[in-house]
Amino acid sequence: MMREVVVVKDVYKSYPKYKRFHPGTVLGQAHWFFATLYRSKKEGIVEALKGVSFTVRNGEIFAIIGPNGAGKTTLIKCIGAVLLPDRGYIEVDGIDVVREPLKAKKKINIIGAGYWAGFDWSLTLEENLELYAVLYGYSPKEARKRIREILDILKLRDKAKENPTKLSSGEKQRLSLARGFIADVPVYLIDEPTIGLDPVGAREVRDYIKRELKRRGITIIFTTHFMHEAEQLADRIAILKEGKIIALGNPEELKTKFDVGKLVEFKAYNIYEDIIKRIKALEITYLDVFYRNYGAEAIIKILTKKPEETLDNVIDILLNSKSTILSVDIRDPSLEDIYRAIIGGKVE
Amino acid sequence: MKGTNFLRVVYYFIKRDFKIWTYFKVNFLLEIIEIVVDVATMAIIAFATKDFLKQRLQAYGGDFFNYVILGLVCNSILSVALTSPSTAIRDAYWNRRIEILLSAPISPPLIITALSIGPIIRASMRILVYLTIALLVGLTIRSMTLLGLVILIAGFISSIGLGLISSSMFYLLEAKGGGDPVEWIVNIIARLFSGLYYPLDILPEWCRWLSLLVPHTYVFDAERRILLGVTSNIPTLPLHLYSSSIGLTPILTDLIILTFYAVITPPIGYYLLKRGFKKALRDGRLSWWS
Repeated sequence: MMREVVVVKDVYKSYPKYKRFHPGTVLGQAHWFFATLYRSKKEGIVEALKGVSFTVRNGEIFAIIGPNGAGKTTLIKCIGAVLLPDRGYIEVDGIDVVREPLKAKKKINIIGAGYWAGFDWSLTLEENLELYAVLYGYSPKEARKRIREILDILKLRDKAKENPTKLSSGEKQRLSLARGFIADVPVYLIDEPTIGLDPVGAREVRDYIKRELKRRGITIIFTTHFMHEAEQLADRIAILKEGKIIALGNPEELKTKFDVGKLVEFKAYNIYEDIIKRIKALEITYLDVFYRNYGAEAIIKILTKKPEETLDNVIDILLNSKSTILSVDIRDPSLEDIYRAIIGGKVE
Repeated sequence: MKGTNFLRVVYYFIKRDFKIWTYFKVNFLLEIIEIVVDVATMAIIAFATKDFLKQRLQAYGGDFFNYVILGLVCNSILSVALTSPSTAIRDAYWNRRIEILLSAPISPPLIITALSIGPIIRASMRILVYLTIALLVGLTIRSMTLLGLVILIAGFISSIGLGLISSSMFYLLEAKGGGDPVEWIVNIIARLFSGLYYPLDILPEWCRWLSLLVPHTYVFDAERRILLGVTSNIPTLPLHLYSSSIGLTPILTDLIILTFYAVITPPIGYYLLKRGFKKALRDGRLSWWS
């Protein structure tokens, strides 16, 4: 049986909510005085994590998926020891992250979304990465070798002597990943690995994670908004909603866990608000509408436990409303469909 | 982190700082021009107030130019020690770098120390240029002793300690808007009441007592006495009057107080800085973009 390399047990995290204070209202030097005054007036707390527990096995790719504000980044930061949980236990490779953060940081590296913004704009990519390599204990020679490898993999080798201002946003995100991958650690925590990348760039990064890191037996925990990304990369997926894990398992397990019925999908012209209202009134689990061609064409996705009945009823509604049906399909819902229903609050 | 690794980190941070400074190459030239203007201004003021201040500066040899330039040089050294740690945190925070740096296996105070060394080296180079120009314009240094170096080091360590306390306010008091109470208060006392630009005896009695709160006062006094070769023990600080009664010279009194400062302030600063980082990690306020 594979060893558990990351253990997260009953982790809670809340943030104090202070009265909003804008530094711009009081200039410069006196800011600390007014900030302290205002901050003493707490308005309550924001509960970001409410008893999160899971384990990740050695060499596993583990996805944390959830909408904005679900607590994904908070969770990643707690595991990465750049945020202290209120209570609970986090262990990485046998080390208690809260009690021994410095030891734990030798085993993990956190790669944040937008970390590229922290690079020095007057240094080259190589120089920037060299600095971070040294922080992880590399000798200058080892650092240069490692940097060459990483820049090759992330297709940034030809930009090594340029400074980060010259990079496109996709390249900046890859640079952020390069900084993270410099550290040769058994566990990587990646916050939204493909954010800001074009489809080709995103695929390359996913390929690198799946092929190269998986081959080397590296454990990866990553967050994402995209179910297709989680499904494609992860061995297991945790769905996080409002600070709680509401589902955990491999993609197949998650599909069977939620009994949402079938997906009935229509493509049609002339779909107006009143039609949607009438479909919503039917006995269905979840409805999603995507408009295309400047709103002329719509794709209606309906999750329902009574697919035939729903199909008949919706056809009636559409024909009575003089909509043009282009196609109809009944199939098993994808994980993406189920996820949308869960996040939409229609599936428990 | 092993000592050699830490030294390597420091070296790389200094290298980084050097590359950033040399990025805008004309800045070096402009800085030298600025120093020349500074020294020239002081020389003109010294010339204009020569007769008026001669009597007042008797304890330091009577020359205002020597008096003020030595004060400014010492102040530059103490100022960079005072401001480097908080500048390092502020810079890393507002440039979105702090969380990335702290995700590495190195303790926050060590990172801040490593980040502070580059600016201190740069300031030292600037001070050397300043001294050279001042010597060319007419600064007269009559004696250089080991005691002078010891006093300067004690003052520097005291200021580093105050700097660490000041930098801890960044998270402890959320002093992120460009200033913090410790640096602010120390700077005001140092500029107004420590005898940087004028002798303390022109100030009212209570101001002279206020001057005793900052290490700058003792460094300025002792360094001027030593470097200008003053042999008289004319008391210039309120404490000197008391210490002379138990047989202590003004320089020795300055050294004792500075040693006390140097022993006390760095551990307090280190402790508060650690607490500040812990508070930031707990409140989720380590970085500003998330």
